[in-house]
Amino acid sequence: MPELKINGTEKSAEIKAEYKKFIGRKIMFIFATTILVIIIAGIAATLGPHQISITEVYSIVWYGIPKILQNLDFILTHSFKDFSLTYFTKEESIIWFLRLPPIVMAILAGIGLGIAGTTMQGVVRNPLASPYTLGISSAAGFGAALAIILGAGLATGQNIIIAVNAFFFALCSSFIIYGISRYKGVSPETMILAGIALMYLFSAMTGVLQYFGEEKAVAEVVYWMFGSLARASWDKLFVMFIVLIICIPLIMLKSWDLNALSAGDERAKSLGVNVDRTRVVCFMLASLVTAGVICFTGTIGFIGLVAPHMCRMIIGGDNRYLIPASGLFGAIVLLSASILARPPIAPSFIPVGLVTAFLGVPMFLYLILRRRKEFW
Amino acid sequence: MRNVLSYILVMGLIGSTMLLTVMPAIAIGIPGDDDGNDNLTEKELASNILNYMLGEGDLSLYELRDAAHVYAHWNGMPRTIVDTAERTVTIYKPVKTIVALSSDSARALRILGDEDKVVGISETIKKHPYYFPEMSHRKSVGTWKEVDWEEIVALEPDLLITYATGSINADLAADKLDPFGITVVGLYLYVTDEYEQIFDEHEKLAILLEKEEAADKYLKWHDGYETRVHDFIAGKEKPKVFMTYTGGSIGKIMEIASYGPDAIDYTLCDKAGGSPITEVFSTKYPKVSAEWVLRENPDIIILKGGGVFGGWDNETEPANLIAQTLVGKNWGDINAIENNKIYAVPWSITNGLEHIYGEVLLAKICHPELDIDPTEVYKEFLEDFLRVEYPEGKVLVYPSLAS
Amino acid sequence: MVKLEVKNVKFRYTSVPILRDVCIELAESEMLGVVGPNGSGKSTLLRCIDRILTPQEGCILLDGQDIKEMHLMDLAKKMAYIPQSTTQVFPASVFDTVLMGRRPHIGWRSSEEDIEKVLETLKLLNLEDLAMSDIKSLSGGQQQKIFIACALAQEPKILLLDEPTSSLDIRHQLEVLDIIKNSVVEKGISAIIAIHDLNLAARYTDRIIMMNGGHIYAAGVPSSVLTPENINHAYGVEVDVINHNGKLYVLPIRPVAKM
Ligand SMILES: Nc1ncnc2c1ncn2[C@@H]1O[C@H](COP(=O)(O)OP(=O)(O)OP(=O)(O)O)[C@@H](O)[C@H]1O
Ligand SMILES: [Mg+2]
Repeated sequence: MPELKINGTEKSAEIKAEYKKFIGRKIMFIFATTILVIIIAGIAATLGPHQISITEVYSIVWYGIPKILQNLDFILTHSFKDFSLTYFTKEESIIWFLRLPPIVMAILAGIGLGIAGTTMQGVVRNPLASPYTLGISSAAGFGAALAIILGAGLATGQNIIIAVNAFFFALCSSFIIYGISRYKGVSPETMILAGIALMYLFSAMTGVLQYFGEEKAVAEVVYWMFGSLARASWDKLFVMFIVLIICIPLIMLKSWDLNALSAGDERAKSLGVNVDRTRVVCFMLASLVTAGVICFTGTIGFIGLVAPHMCRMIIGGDNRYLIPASGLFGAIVLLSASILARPPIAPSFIPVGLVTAFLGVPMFLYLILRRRKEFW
Repeated sequence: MRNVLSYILVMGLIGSTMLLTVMPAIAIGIPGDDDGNDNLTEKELASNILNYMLGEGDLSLYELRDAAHVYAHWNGMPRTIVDTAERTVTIYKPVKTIVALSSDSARALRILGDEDKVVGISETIKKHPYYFPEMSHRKSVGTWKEVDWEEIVALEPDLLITYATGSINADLAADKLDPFGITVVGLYLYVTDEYEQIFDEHEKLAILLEKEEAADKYLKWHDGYETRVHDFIAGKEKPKVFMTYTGGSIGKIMEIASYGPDAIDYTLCDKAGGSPITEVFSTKYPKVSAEWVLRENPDIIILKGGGVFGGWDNETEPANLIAQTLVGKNWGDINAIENNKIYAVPWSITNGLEHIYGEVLLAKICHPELDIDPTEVYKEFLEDFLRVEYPEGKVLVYPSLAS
Repeated sequence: MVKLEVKNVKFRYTSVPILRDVCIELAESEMLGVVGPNGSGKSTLLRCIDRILTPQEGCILLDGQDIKEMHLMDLAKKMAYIPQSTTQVFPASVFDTVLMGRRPHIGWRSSEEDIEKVLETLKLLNLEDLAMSDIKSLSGGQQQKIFIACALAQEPKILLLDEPTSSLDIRHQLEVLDIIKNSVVEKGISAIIAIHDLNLAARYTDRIIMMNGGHIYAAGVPSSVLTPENINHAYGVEVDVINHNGKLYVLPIRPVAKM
């Protein structure tokens, strides 16, 4: 018989207190990242040729919302642009139409990619998975390349066509992976291998397009693939937001099941988790989120891989907290990158997708070196 | 099943929001057009002037001047064109300030004589102070792939000229600049695969800038040479021409890039009285092998590469280009090589509004007896239209053509 | 209190039959040992019972209800299965891992009661000092104990344990099996334990089934199953079975050709 400790109840209380502290720390982390997102967003909104101070920025945003809401009928009968010309000062228009869209896009895209990455890693039980390794990014890239190269000269609705095409192909690739795993059994191995195969397939197809494409269009494709926030506008953000607001809560509802998957399929099944369904649903939701983000931003693959890792190192692997945390962390990385992407000697921008990598890798390495324990 | 349904829902939502993006046109009107019917009548103008003099008008003196101009020169109506992005572009008052985002539009602006209106440029224009002495010193707002919209807004231009497609396409630019009342026009102003497009575009720009005369003068000059070439080659036998181009990695790849019937270079070669051997291809930029070229045995090989503006500074560069192209090709038996008929020409032959000199040049290569000197054509373009000195010593073709 | 019946279960992964007509009845509050040589189908049997695998023929009834027709979560409330080997991929604290066992009982949020259950289980298995450590930084035996804790926290009616003591030291083997035995007796649950150590099987189980090549070769109380003949037949080992202080001990002598 195990000897029972004399101070048994005390010990339990101690553990409970510690557990609560751990949870508290996780919630604190999420809270802190949220605050940081707001602060960095504020800083980002002050950057630009027009001198607008941070307090002015906040007041413009603060008073702009009721202004928009009050004149909703005008906006609907006319347009946002007429509204801006009629009701907004130049500063207000600059904040609302030029500065906020890329910032909001950085936040939404960061959240989306961070969460999609965490989910995919959980789904395939592999910490090296990301929207990129599962072929979704390259499929989106192919879709965009198809629209840019074959549609070269097609001017009407080009921006929408590129986005729709990228979105469509990104989902296509995940449906193929789904189909294959339906046929072969929904195992992580099948998913990863199918994803890698698709990644190469779509890269090759993009290569073919580029090989035969016109130089200008090819340069365009390469630029698209780097990823950029410059294409942001409110209508695109609205679409992105809808996708995220539908998918992310559904993913979060599955966080217990994702946790259970971490201990292996058999154990998860024994805990009452429908492993195959969880895997398929979460995978498709994560794909949808990824597609909804990168069809507008281009391939910013890195965040999906790194944000989950960094957060896991800081707050552990519990998906209930990890999912929101890595989303917010992704937003921070992308926002900071968007600030660094505009060096003082404007107008030479560096594509934000590249800056993300330059910014993320050192942070990542630092955490790896600092951490003594295993990473996953 | 529930999942499938939710996907359909999401897709539907996305689809419907995409439709929402089509927004109604923007409503700024002619200054002084008080009833907003896009027609400035004598009465409206008169009452505005009167009000101004009484000190109780809504219009400033500047606006009043614009109104008078619109009344006097535009019949009181706005000017409207449909740009290459198929957008209806309307201006309600004279354009006084312009941001130009490509060297192609910069050239057009110089031809039209409106370079002084330019307040903002792109990096490409900045790189060519020789050809754009005034413009190149204006504020640069970005590159072909990314611009600082806020810089543009700060410059308060009346008009932004950008490409119809691409990273900074007209639709996107309009999205960003409409809230600031800046008109965007999407024009390539370089020779696209649709040969006539550039002239259309040039004319449309002229309409917006009220420079129809300058545009006509240019077109007459252009058509003059075009007709001469056309008449000269009529009925003549066309030599077989192989056109290739390099992007820098010559000799590294087995395949050689060329132009198919849909590409502008092909059209130009055809107009110049050559018969491109790539007739059989359906792709615009077919890749062919050295062996295929050998079998087709062209009479002339034309290698495009190098300087965008006015050719090379010396002969070594084009000479090297040719030498490198021939490495490892085994083309010794080709007619063109045997007769020394391999020529290097610069990219600028198909650049933009000056491309007629490219056509003359190709015609001269195919038919040396043509009595037009391509260098003279280019010189005329620079001196009469771009209004800059012809930079002596430029190599427009290598080896030089016997006159 | 539930009653488990395994009726004429036949299972194959590929074309080779692994379970050929297995029948078991599990009484309430019974500890059933499953022994048999490697590859004889012990793990497969446990997986079939927990519906991780679905038998091609036969059925498994829980209180008369076919488990195929049961909701997964309901099944998870009644049965907990700990696989032979478990690998955690992502970091998780011991506490969270054990809390995971409460999954069938909770929605998105864990309640105070669940936390109490976890604390209780940790105390029971003497894991309190490890509560907040990362499970991946623990030894194999410690991890095995934690997964057993996880199964106990799940509060099932039937515990399915696949070699729960394979990585434990001699003291912990006894400790863990004592705890399981106590739970069986006190809470009236039952347990099916696949186990290689015949001495432990003899000591702790009420009944043993001996599997060989997908068949149940022998079944009954330990003293009737663990005979030198049976062992020789199933394992190909010559043994002495001795009785010491009222307990059965199997002493291996040497491997021989199977009878
Ligand atoms: N996933 C699988 N696919 C195909 N065959 C399998 C699979 N798992 C097990 N088998 C086969 O089924 C047979 C029984 O395996 P099982 O794991 O049930 O044996 P076991 O009695 O638990 O053995 P051990 O004592 O080694 O754990 C073995 O012959 C094995 O090769
Ligand atoms: Mg086994």
